[in-house]
Amino acid sequence: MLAGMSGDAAGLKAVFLAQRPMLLRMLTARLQSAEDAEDVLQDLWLKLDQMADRTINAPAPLLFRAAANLATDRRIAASRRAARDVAWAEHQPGPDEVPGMERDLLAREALEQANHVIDRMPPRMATALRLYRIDGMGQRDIANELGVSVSAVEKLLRKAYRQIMTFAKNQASAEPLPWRRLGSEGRLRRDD
Amino acid sequence: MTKGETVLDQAIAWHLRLAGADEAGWLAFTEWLEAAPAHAEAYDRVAMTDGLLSESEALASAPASSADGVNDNFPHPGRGFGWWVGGLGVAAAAAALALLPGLVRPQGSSIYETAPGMARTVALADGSRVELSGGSRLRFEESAPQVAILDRGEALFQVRHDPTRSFTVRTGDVAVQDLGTVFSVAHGGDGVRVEVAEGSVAVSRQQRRLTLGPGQTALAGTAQAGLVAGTIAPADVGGWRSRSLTFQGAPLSAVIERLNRLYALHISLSPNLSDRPFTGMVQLTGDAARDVPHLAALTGTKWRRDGEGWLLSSAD
Repeated sequence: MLAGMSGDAAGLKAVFLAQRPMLLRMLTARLQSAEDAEDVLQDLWLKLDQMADRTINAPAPLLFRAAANLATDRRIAASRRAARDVAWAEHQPGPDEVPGMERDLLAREALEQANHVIDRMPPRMATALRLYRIDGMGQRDIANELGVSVSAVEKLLRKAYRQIMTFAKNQASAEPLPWRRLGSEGRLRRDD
Repeated sequence: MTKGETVLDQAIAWHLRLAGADEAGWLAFTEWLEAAPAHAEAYDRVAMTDGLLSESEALASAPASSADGVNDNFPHPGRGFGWWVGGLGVAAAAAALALLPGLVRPQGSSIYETAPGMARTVALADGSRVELSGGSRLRFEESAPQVAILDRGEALFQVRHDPTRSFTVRTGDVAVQDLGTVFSVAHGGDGVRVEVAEGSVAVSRQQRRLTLGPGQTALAGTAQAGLVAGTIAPADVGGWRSRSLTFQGAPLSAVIERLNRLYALHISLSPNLSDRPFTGMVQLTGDAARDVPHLAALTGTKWRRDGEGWLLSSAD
């Protein structure tokens, strides 16, 4: 396996420790739970060695981005787990459990609907979204690629997300995944 | 509802801004989240939907400044791989290219190709490593360096996980997303097989998605839709490197095709044996004169020399 620790891990850890209070505050606001926020920070800490292996120009923003991504991963995992727990708990789910199963279906449906929306986007909008989301290009580079201004790219992307959010049923939109129904192990509580 | 829409617009704007935000930007974002529970809820929706987009085939096949559909000089996938050609992605990208003259320009993509029997290790810029087996082709589009496209053959990936940028292997209609790991992807006559030695990967095909841990496998068969889960000893993943191969119910034609590709053997199979399933471990020496009789014994077939190659036929 690829070992190889970089000498920069210590530097990144120092930045992490300096930014820790702010990271925790951001994550708490993002996840609406101090406990979940602490868990994500712990995950992030464990990943610092891997992250330090690349050249980092701006370590603090990188840490915020990574923390936010981990928080979103956690939410997605929680929604899938909630759906699974409900699906596995009983062969014949009671009426109160149907939303969980629906949510799992909604995730698939949401993807299909997102595909549907993307297929019908103006080509330039779809390209901007693809370059941004799949290829990880910055808005400035996308502007160069498309030969338009940066603010035009931002508008395109806003519209693209807006269309997807409006037309594609989000897994969290019809029935938002509750923040506080997740216990400490992230499992769906069945008694509330 | 107008107010809710405004909050959603704000959430989208924040989401787009965060990619390039500095510390002050993240502080401002945090303050916005804290200002109202509806803000956090709206942002949660946007972020989770955005997470979903990485699985969107429509988005992945949207036109980009890539060489997709432009480089006709790519050799066509070899015999036995025609089943996946015509995958939605390339066709859709090509169609879109026609609509967008001047917008999409062909650019270089990195192609790594091995002849049958040859292996090659490719070191990627991020420290990840790919061991490419014989008769394989792997490419990276310049526009999407974190997506490896396995056109044919098989490769062992040792990926340095980066939580901010995931690494994906695409082959046919199967996508394998690394979650920090050592795994192998083989694209053969019976389908695409993914095997995990360390860590985990998420395999998706059409609407199906499986997360695999060490010792778990997924087969995206040519004959059926979806994914079939299985197991393997983690040490056996990438066994082709030590000429040790494990098969589970693979059609004999796929076994032979794989051996020919990996080790430049010239074995042919009498057609009535093509579909016979084979389960077992094959340990080869590299000396065909020993390996072919061994293989015949394992598969219950009869071997004979056939010109410069070998022919396996029914034992009776």
